[in-house]
Amino acid sequence: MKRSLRYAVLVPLSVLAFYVLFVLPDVDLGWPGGLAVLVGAWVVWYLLWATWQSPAANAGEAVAAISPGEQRAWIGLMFTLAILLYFGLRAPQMVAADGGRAPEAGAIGGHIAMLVIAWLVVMQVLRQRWRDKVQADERDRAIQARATEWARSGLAIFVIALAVTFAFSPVDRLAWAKPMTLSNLLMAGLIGSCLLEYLVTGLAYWRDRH
Amino acid sequence: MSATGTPITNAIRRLRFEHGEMTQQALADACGITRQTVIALEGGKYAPSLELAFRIARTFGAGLEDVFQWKE
Repeated sequence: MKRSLRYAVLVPLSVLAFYVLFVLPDVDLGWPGGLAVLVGAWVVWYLLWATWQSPAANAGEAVAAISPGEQRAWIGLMFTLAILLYFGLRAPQMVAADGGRAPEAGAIGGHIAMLVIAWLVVMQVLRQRWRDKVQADERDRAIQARATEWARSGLAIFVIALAVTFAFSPVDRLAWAKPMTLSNLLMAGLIGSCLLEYLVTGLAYWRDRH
Repeated sequence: MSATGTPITNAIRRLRFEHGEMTQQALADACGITRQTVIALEGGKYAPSLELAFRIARTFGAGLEDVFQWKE
């Protein structure tokens, strides 16, 4: 199957798998159904990963293969985006009526932890694959430093915006700012700054290749 | 020789071919950098540090200015 066709099939399927596993309200499919969905989702993600990897494996001298640093950046971007999307969609369910922590918060936190563990596993597998190669050099460190600067600036702007909102909004317009909502907002800002860092890193590598 | 993003041009591509068609990966391994950094250097997208410039020049057994030139 042509790569473009494979992407056309696998990308929507992987988004659907993400939606079914993490966003869809709990539907009891029994253990065989649940297992089938879980295995299906992982197979789709693996096939997408394998498709992405295949041109790099066959790359000749003229083709600029993706460096370990760039792979780390795009994978980080994918996982961070997935975490931010999931967090954004489910965050309202984490807030109880009194503004405290809702009982669903634990399960949602568990799903996020599952995504982080999957990310760590992928990175560990890649680290094993690259063990005989130089994984980062001075150019990677320069790109990383620039991306960190962007992330820090983004986070600073977010915190200043939050501080200004609280300082200058009338108290009656801050009724939404309940403890759990604020906690979610701060976490979203942190995840967002990570997303910005991976995006700037990925784009810097991409620009160098084109 | 090429340069698009930096005032420093280089002759890395020519020197690789003059050294038995050395591959980008071989040069990268000799200098302790990634192949993608060699690609970025050859494409004029990245200006190396002085240390890396010396390492590349020594790999080719050449002087610094035989490999890197300042674009006037």
